[in-house]
Amino acid sequence: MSKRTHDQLETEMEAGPSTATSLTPSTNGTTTPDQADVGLLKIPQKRFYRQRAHANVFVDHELDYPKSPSAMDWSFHYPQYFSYPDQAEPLPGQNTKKVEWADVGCGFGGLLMALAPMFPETLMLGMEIRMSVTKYVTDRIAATRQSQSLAGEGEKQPGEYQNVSVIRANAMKHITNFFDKGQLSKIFFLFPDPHFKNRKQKARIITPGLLAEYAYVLRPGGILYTVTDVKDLHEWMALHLNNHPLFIPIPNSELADDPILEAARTATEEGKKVERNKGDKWVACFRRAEDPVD
Amino acid sequence: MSDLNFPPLVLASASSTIAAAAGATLIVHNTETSKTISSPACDNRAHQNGFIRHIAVSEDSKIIASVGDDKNLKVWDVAEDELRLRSTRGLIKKASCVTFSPEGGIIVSDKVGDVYLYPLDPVPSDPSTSKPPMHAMVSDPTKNPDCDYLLGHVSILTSHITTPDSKYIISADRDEHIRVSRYPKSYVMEKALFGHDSFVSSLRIPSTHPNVLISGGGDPSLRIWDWTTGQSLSKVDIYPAILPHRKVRSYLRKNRSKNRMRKVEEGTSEEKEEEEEETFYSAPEGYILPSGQGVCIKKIDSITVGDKTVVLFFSEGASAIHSFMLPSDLSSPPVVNTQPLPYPILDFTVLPNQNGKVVISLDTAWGMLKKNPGPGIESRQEAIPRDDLTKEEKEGLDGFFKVIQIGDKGEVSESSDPSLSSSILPSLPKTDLKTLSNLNLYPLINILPKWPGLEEEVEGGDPPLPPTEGEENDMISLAPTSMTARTFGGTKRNYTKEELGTMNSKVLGRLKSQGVDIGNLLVQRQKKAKEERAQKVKEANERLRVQQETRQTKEEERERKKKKVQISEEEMANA
Repeated sequence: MSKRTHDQLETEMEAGPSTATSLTPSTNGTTTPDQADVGLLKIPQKRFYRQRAHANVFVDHELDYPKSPSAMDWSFHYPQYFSYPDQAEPLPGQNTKKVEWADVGCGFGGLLMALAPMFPETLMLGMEIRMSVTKYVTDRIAATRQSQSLAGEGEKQPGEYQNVSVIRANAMKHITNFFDKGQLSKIFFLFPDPHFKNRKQKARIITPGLLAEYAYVLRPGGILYTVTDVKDLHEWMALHLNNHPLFIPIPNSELADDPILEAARTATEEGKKVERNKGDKWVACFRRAEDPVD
Repeated sequence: MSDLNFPPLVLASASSTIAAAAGATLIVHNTETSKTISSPACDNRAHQNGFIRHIAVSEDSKIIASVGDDKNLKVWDVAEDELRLRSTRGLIKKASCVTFSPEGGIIVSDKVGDVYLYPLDPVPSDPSTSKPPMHAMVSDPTKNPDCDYLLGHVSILTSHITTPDSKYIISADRDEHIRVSRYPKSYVMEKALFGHDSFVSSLRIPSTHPNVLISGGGDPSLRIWDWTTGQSLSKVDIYPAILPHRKVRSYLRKNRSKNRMRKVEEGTSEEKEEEEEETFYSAPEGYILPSGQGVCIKKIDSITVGDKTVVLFFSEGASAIHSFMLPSDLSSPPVVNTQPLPYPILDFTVLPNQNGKVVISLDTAWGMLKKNPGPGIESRQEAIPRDDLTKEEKEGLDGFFKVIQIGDKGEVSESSDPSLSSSILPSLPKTDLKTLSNLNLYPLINILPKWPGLEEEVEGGDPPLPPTEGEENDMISLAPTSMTARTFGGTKRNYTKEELGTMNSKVLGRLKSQGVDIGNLLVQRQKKAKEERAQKVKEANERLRVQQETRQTKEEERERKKKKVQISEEEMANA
């Protein structure tokens, strides 16, 4: 489409809306009936999706969340793995998997995009409260999926990013609306809002009350990852996780060559920024213990 | 003139006791001995500051816990002839529910969503360690040295209840959630009960059905659950019973957003077509009311009549009490009975050992001294200015108590118990007209329902796109349909030059990634912005230069003047 010159465009535009000039180009040559009259997506640029880095988690956002985990229509997010509500018969392999990894506060989705081809069989979901940023990840996944579907054999990534999606949600309020008890095997809290001010610390993503909810959605043996560049926040998170009877700290040596942790430390946008600024990163990982017997 | 009575806002009862709270005064009436005792008298100001909102009576009627607006948790010993203050502790936040724990402690849940277990008597504080600052305890509730932290929701917690087997605690919040956690190991969350569409404000487990939980809030129905399995057993429609009896309404908020005003207008016009006569809960143009129908179930209780269990409930600000028989077969919906009353209900409680009698307290000042706030009044209610009241009006104000009889089919009929009213009335604290007209007796109907349009504006968010048929004009509609993979491509929408011209760069940039050809609009804009910036810098520099120059000339002038003065002074001296 970029081949079209500016002058051509101008003349087309001047023709006015009555002629319904299409500025949406058709796909290049390889148009199948499915794709007729639709455009080629591009990887979005972050600068058009920037938003203030903080969101008030206590106000009433106009959020779209399911009434319960069973009411969630995952087919919108993972069309290859879930059948549509109006679909008569699920395709083979559909509706057998559940979302297992959640990146709470996924931001621009760097971790998800890095992990998706590494673990093509695992469904992972980003949860982000900022509207524009969620929009960016949505557009990015859509563009990546499309380009993967059109790509040649050699360029295809395992899973073709069909196993990754993002949702606008306030995880602090609604994480139990999305996931059943013990559904998740991994949950990530990467570079969360530090909420430095004493008065705001209640809004931190790790609090004693919320840990009970995270323990609820995480299955015994599942791992909770925290990474931050703020020492104060790291100490806060580690303290509360250590104090919580359902979370057992994992010694750093055990996770030394864990590719997931490596991605969690380095693949996110915040992680890259910290690296550029040569800042410190604080990592703490915890394993969900079994529920006490009584 | 201070010869009017504070209304009894809270009622509770146990084995042989009825407890009532009016202002900051706690009154206890023993039904066996017919003796009435009350807490020490205090002045009008103390009543307003310490206005009691929640009380809990221990099972043996020996101890009462109360929390007022002053956030003080007070524990009282009920002695034969007096009510003795056993201890006073400051809470961190305003409480929303107070109960006794199975082992005799006090469980308090609060408005920021935390639930604490306070020991019955305060832990003697160690003088060597000081209490952590308030903000630290708010952000980290485990730091509070007075109590054990049980659990927390990220929402206003509205109600909690411990199960009859003492092994679980159930908590409900403003965000439709009901949680079942273990007790006392409340860090283990067992279940989430899903189904409510609106806030949950009241929970009840009937003593005869230990596995059944009844919950209610702003929804059109009460829910009946088997909390042990998490299964929803039944729904009871309550709107037809409650809606005609609503009296008190939330205050009106100005509708500030033009965009939303349009939406609201559309909504009300549709509603008007549907129900002509609905005027109680519709806001005048330019104002909004919180969502829902102004229903807020404040209390659910159960009573055993004969061998039947009858559930009683009322909605805050409504002038009727409702009941239904809890059927043995929960698959069929029960019939809801209604007992209309002359004033909005403040509270009710079951009279002990009276086989089906229930005492209700009423807000007798409603309609005479206060009314629903009209547009432009930000306070919760509007006082009707009165200089004095007639004798009849004053007598009318004292009709706080009503007694009703519940039949074994769940039906309600008026009854009376003159001794009860006459024994509690003299103990009610006195106040004046002005205070009485301004008491905030209905806090929940304002804060629990959600107000439309609270979403903060996204900075530089997308401006509304020109409407197109079959397309929603919100941000999500910009999302490529390819997330569903039904169409594997970008947006099909065509944009004219004019349309594109009205969009900001952010939207253009996003459209570009969706395969919309936006030409070189972005480049043009960047160029333009750059030029404008350069122009601005140029202008600013120019201004700065001019300023500096004028300052210089001024300074030079001043110097010159100074010199002149000096010279003239020297001359004078010389002369």
